[in-house]
Amino acid sequence: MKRLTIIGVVLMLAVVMAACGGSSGGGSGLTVSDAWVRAPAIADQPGAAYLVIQNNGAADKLLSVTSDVAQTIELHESMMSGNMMSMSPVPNIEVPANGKAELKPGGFHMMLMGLTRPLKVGDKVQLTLNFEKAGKIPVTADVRDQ
Amino acid sequence: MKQRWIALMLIGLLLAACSHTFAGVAPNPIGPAPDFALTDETGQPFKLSELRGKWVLLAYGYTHCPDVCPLTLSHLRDVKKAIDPNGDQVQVAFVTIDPERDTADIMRQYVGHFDQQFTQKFKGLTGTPPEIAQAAQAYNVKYEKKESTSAAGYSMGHTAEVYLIDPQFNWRMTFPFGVKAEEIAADLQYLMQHPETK
Repeated sequence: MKRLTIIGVVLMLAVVMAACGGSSGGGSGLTVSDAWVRAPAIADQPGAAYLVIQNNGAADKLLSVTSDVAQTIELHESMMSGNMMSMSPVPNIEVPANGKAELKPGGFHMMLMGLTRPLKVGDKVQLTLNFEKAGKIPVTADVRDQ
Repeated sequence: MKQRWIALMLIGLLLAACSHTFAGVAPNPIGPAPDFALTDETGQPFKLSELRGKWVLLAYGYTHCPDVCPLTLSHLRDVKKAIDPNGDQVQVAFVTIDPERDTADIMRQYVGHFDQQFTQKFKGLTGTPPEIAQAAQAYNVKYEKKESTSAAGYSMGHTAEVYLIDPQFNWRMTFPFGVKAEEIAADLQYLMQHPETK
């Protein structure tokens, strides 16, 4: 009976995860969801991208990101120190074991530079995330205006 | 028993409707908003006090900022959209703290993006470095240039608050970074309906 309950819970989790549209990496415990890109206000200035990386396995690191829409993508962090907000590039973003890394406005984010085409709200953008252990995980991000 | 709960809930709802908890912080005491003279997005001289008669949401930032500044401006757009979508009562003013890169033309393109659904309800203000320093100091805005290894060049550290000025040109409220558009809209709407609030 107990085993049946566990199987049931696992099945439900699988259904929920599939419904969330998350991308999972091969054999890793990483699930990427809620990926979105903010189109820049001025076409030739950088855009920003955000997502959530859920980790049900060992600690990993997001090392780099590539996309056909940007010549360069840097990982950045906005930080409040004192009451001043500032932004600097970071070499990687840690995804703790059995935890999550959130890339969100005012925190970690990707900076998309040298956009190869104008981004419009509703567009889909393909990003390839490159992790230290999990390797490459492809993700589709929506272009939003928020 | 059940009726008592319903009565209590109704009282609670009524109380919630009467009082308003502000997300912003009011200066103590409330006094005249500091004025400053800059150049607007059309290249013309512009004094903030020209917006007297309107509710003004004032923010500082820079256009090369892809993360925090567009978030603030999209919040202010959403506030305008929620409260005064077709009206002339609420105006946004965005002051650059990066005059080196943000010319009047760049400011026009930048605020134009957030102003799309309105007609000239977003002012984009720039100036000479001393003028910007003065406009920043007026609202206790701090900023500093930060050299960076990023391909996007240097970045600017800056305080990221939003200031609310009333139609009598009094500085009414300061919203810290992280306050949501709905919260700013709720405070503004309350003040518009209860202008006597201190």
